[in-house]
Amino acid sequence: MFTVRNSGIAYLFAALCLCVLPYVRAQDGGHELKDSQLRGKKILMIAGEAEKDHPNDDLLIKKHLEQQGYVVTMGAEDDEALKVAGQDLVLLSSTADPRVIRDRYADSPVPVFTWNTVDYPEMKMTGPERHTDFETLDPVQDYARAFTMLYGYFPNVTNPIVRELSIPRSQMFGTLYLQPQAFGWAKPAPSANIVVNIEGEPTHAAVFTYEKGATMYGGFVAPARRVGFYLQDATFHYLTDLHGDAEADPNLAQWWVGLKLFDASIRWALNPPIAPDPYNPAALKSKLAAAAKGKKLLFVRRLNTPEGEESDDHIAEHLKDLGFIVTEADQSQPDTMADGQDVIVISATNSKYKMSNKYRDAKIPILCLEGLMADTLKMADRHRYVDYGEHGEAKESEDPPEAYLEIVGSYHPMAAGLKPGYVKYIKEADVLKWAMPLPSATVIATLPNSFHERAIFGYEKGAAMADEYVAPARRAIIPVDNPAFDDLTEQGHALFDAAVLWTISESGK
Amino acid sequence: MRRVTNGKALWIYTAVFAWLAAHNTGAQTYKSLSEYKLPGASARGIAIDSESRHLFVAGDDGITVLNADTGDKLGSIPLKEAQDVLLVPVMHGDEQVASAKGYATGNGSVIGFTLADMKTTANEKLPTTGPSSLCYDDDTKAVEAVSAGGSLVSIDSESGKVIRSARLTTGSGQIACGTLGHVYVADTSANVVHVLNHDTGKKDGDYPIMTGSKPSGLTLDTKGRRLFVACENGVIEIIDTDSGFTFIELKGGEGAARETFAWTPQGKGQWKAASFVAQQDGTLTGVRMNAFINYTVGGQYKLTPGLGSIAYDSKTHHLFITAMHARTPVVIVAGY
Repeated sequence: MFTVRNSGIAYLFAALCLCVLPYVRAQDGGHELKDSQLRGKKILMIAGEAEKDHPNDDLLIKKHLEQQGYVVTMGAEDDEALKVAGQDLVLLSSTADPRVIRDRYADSPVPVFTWNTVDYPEMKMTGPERHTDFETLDPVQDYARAFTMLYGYFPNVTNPIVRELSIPRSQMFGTLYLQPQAFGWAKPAPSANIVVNIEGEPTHAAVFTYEKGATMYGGFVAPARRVGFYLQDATFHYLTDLHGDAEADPNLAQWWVGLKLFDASIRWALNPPIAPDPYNPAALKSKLAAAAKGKKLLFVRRLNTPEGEESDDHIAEHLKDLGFIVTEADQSQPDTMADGQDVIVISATNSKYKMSNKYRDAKIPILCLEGLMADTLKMADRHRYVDYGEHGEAKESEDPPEAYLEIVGSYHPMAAGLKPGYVKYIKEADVLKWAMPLPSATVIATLPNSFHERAIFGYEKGAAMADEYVAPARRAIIPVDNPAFDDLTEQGHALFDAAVLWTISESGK
Repeated sequence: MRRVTNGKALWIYTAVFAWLAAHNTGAQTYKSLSEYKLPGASARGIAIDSESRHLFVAGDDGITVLNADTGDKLGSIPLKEAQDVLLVPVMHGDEQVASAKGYATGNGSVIGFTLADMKTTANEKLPTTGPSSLCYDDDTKAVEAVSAGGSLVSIDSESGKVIRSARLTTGSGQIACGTLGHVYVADTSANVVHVLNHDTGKKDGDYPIMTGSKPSGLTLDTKGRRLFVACENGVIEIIDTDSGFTFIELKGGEGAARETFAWTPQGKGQWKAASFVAQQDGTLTGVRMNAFINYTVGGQYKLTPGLGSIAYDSKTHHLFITAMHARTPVVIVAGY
């Protein structure tokens, strides 16, 4: 008898089935499918067998999903991966033995929503080390911390899942009902979007997502959307919810949202992924030129400087060529220079010290070419060489000069359609600045071999940045140290144009 | 003589002691102690004044007043097809003392009466017909009457006059008065608990039932934060009224249910508090409070089928439960 053991064949089947999914271009990952379109979606739930002395909520979850119109099929932990064919979503329950399911769903082209915390490493969603990369908490063993887990935090209200809950600002909420509960958290890779974190640790994610094309742990590229959620075996029925007069109180309605968060996360996983434009520098430049036409751009630079002047001139010329109406301002001029402008680009020739806190509060988008200014602009915290730093600056960095970036958010428009992995950014290895943004930022590129050194990232308007400062408009950083603009490779130029385009685009696009 | 110095033996002693301690403090086996016969053909609501030792039972024959200790009939209050009876609590500091007034519903009306001479002092017609239930709001000193026909009436417990009246969707199950003007109503057919507000005369919302079906029994802890809902399919749900969230589900008996709540129902050193659920199939369930957020079934006791309403006597720690025995209405006195 022929038995399919090769998961590749299974995924081929599944991929063929997925081709019929409606595919939309949604740059922010916003929900595109209406509830009526989601009804009838097929969900495969992989779960362990119920044990007499250890009741679990698997069937309750199945019933809950079916009540919303999904078609749920139960699967066993040792099922062949072939079973995902024809499904729209795979759920991995914590009741399934992670040593049995292992990595059989890691390659799945079908979105995976998992609360099997111990299996996160096999899914390439985190590193391998318990207590460091992920952790499961037991309400008896970890009694005090299990109480702490009742308090989640939404670091990014611009996240499409959080937006669904109408959370107005970064704030706490009740994850589970008021008893010490089993809980799972993880520290995902830089390209993940952290929806909920806990314990005051920005990177301890209780709920996190990877977009299709995002680089997960160890360079593994997400074949479809992935969601990690804090549930454990028998905690679904403790997901917070409210009824009665409490529903009318906005504070309570924003506090007891655990079940709504679960539902919104399921919907996000079921929606079509972002479909980035393919890499095409010329097309990108045309698109940017169309968007730039007539827009007023303030280019803040150090005028009359012995270094970097020529590079800044070339940046200004490039921006003018694109169709921007460029005004140049010296770093010493007041930030009222931005009045009446549409966008600000801050050059790396500026002195962070002399720039002071200028433009921080600007209500228009800012693209900053200098990672070291991340703290003054509230785009990172203030520990030098921890929250921001540089590669290759003599006497200031123990890291060597670098020419490459690693694309980890290839799905994002700021990635210019480049594939995940290393890309030669500047022609010769030189100084590259980086910063460590807050979880509300979207990370596009990191420095090679430096997990926490994020080179290109952006904050959506309304996202909470450092010190809970809410971004008044889009904010982005791309490292163009002087005189690096003239040294950008073709891909580097494309990344620059993509960063400018995203920065000036309407929020949510 | 051999001395026990061995750690294993010590462990066994400790374990046995712990088992005994746990089982000794937890288990009180309730059983039927006696049975009081009632006149008429049915028995519905029941209330006890522990101080005066008077027991009031609503039935088709009116309100029958019994001696709670002997079952001797002391008198009756005329009210056709009486449904429910409530005694207005009187507090002297923290101590509850003998009640002076009571209210009863029946035949589409609410009557007020005095306990001393069993005389009717007030009579107000309800706006809708159908079975009706009573609860007392200690904050407003008002008696709330809920008619299954769809009305909520607030009555000043002192004067017996109607303060407010509203028509709205109610239910046929038990009711309970909470804080902040809330009146909880088990709507057996709609499978929800309505949260009515007697201040506004409107519904504040509904609490859905999780896996239970047909909620009919309802009681609230006297702090107003834990609602015990007994369903006819055998599920008892405990709802946190701050959020309307069902945080515990327990297994009860089956059939129509009625409940009562009591603190230290077996005296000091035993259960902190409990909800007692009497159900049609004859099951008496004691839902034990281990902590304010933790409840378990402390015990289940088979009495006689056809159990009805239930009242707790704080003096004797006994439970008084209406029931039908050989087609005759009775009050079962349950204790341990």
